Amino acid sequence: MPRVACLLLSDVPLTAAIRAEPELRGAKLCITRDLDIVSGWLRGLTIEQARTIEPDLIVRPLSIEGVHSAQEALMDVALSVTPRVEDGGALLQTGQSGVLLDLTGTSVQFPSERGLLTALDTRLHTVGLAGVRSGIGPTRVIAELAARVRDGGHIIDGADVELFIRGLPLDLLNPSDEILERLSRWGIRTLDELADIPRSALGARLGEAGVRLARRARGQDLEPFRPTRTRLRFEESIETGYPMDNLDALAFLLNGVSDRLGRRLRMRGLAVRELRVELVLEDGRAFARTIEMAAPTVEARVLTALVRLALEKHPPDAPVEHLRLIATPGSLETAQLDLFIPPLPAPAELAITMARLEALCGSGRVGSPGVEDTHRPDAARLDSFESNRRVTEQEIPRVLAPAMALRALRPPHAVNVRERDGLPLLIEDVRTRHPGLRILKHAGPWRLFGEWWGESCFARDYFDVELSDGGVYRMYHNLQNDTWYLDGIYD
Amino acid sequence: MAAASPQPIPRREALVELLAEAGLLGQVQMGVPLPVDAPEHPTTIAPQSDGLAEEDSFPLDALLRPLERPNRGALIEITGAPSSGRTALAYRIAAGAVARGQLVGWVDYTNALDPRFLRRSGLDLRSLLWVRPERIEAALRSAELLLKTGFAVVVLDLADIRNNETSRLTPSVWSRLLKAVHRERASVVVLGAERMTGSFATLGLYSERKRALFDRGLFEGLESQAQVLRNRNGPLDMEFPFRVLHRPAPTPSPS
Repeated sequence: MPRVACLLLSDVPLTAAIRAEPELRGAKLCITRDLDIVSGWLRGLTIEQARTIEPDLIVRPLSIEGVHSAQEALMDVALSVTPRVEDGGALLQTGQSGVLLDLTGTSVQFPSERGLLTALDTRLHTVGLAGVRSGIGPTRVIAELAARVRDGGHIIDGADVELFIRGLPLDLLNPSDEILERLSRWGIRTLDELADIPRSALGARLGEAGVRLARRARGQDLEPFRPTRTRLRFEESIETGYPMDNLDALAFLLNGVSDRLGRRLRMRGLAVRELRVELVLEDGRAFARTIEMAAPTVEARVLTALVRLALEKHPPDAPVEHLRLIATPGSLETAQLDLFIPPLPAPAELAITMARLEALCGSGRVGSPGVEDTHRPDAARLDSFESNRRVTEQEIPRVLAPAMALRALRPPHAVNVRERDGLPLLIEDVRTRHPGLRILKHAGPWRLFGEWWGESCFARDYFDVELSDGGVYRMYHNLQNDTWYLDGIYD
Repeated sequence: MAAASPQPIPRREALVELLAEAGLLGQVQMGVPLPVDAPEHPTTIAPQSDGLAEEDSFPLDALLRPLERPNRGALIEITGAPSSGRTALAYRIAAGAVARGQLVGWVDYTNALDPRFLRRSGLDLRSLLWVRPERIEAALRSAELLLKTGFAVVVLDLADIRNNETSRLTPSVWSRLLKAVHRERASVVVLGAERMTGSFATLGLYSERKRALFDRGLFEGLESQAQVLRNRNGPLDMEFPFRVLHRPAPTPSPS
């Protein structure tokens, strides 16, 4: 027998505001739109009217993005239990939000339905959603009614449906005003009274709409369960409240946003692989930066540090009024510890370090050294650093006595060379005009040429020379323009 | 599969014989073009029993082993003139750490690291983080960051530092670095032309080249001597000769 759970968010704007500022929980808070209070305390009044009644009233403007984030967080909690989740928005009144969960197969993870509701409650608390009602029933209608009529999670068995609907008011099913008025004139005010009317009689008087309403009153669903397709995009945002030009103050807000984002991703077993920061500046311009993570992470501290570093590196040129983080999710990397190999830094820690190093040294100056696929000896490149890479036993080379090292001269030092029979005898540094250095010994030349198909074409004669200054250098004669260079010191 | 250790290649004599057989002796300039991932000089000198350091018994190891993680941290300073083998010693320390499965950071202030030669020293380049700061302050901060993150060995290459920059390396710099070293139980290898760390160094080595090994038209390596100038945990005035030789590139794995 199918079982359905319903999670109901009765006042979404208020919940979204408390989620953004948890310290407002329990305060006299109202949400306004165009000077009218649309949610929370003294709903329906204007701010001025409300202030005369309650001078300590805390007022926050309605944040549409905050509402969307709260709804998505609710969906994340539901999806952490079952993949079959339906957005229940169509069933609900304005200002409410809800999701329906098909509980088929969840008994393996949650043997009791009470345990399931407790787990959901904990997870809702984790993502910052307070005041969510829950209920479980044999159909979607009963589950939703169970969530709406009683706090604390109501579980209705199939056999108890008739008993449950007895005495429940008709307006719980959101009928049209016309039908509600007609039924009221007939003296029908509860679900069980409507359910007792024969279908043919109801159809003759109220038409199809009346029959459908009666079916719902009996606890029957009109449509099958339709799981909502979920998107793997996570957004969290915040209004700064005033134009903010101080990065420290912005980082404070950023921490909360990162925390909410990280919690939602953790709920889904995911991590941030790429983070996009979107700012709306005081003059209305948009400012965006994309941060590629060295390792996927959900740590708010890490996300905040990376965003802060990105903004320090490329600061916005006007005060910020709105901040949004958009995460592209990836799988969370786990490190398998080894008993015999020393532990490596956590991927998240390494990600912060890499970002800080890049902010310190500049872009493209941090990575693993790489060897170019070319015959040109001075070619070097920077690869991305594989933070979680472990050297396997087979890969560990035998460490021998010291091998020859070369200290590259970048760019190569141009030198004037006095030569005899094509062999260098004396060199003079073009830049320093150092008086001639005698070449005491030399080896070579080794002629190298290649990449004739492109602009990087080279043709060089390489020498190893011991100079009178005591150094042993690698030197080459560029055959293309008849110039000489020192490009490294053996050390 | 473990790579075979490089075998001494018959050198000039064999080449001369071949050229003589082909009738080309005297017409060919001696030398070998450098293929990708091959040694620039495909020769190596077999270890000799003339008192110089041999493989598997490198004396530096005996000095460094007590300083390795997780025992305690160390600030190691290696100084010397260009071509004295100081960078080769730093390569050796870095390669040893990577072989132990540790992460190594190389703060290359002078942008002098050559990946080809580093790989030939037996180091897996993917386990090394190469940082190329442009300012001396950034170099010091980078080294500190790497230590804090958990890198076991950080090489701070200041070998070609300009004279006017050494004045910025005040004792407080080394004091701070030493604190980080002890806190993280990691090692920092400072590479320089002259001593900079003073009494903060746990181990101070001075490398001096004895001679460059040019052998009948081929440059085969350097013969040097390392002198222990400072050693907090052992005797001073130790000297050990060593050779740094050209080594072939590692054989790529079949995969």
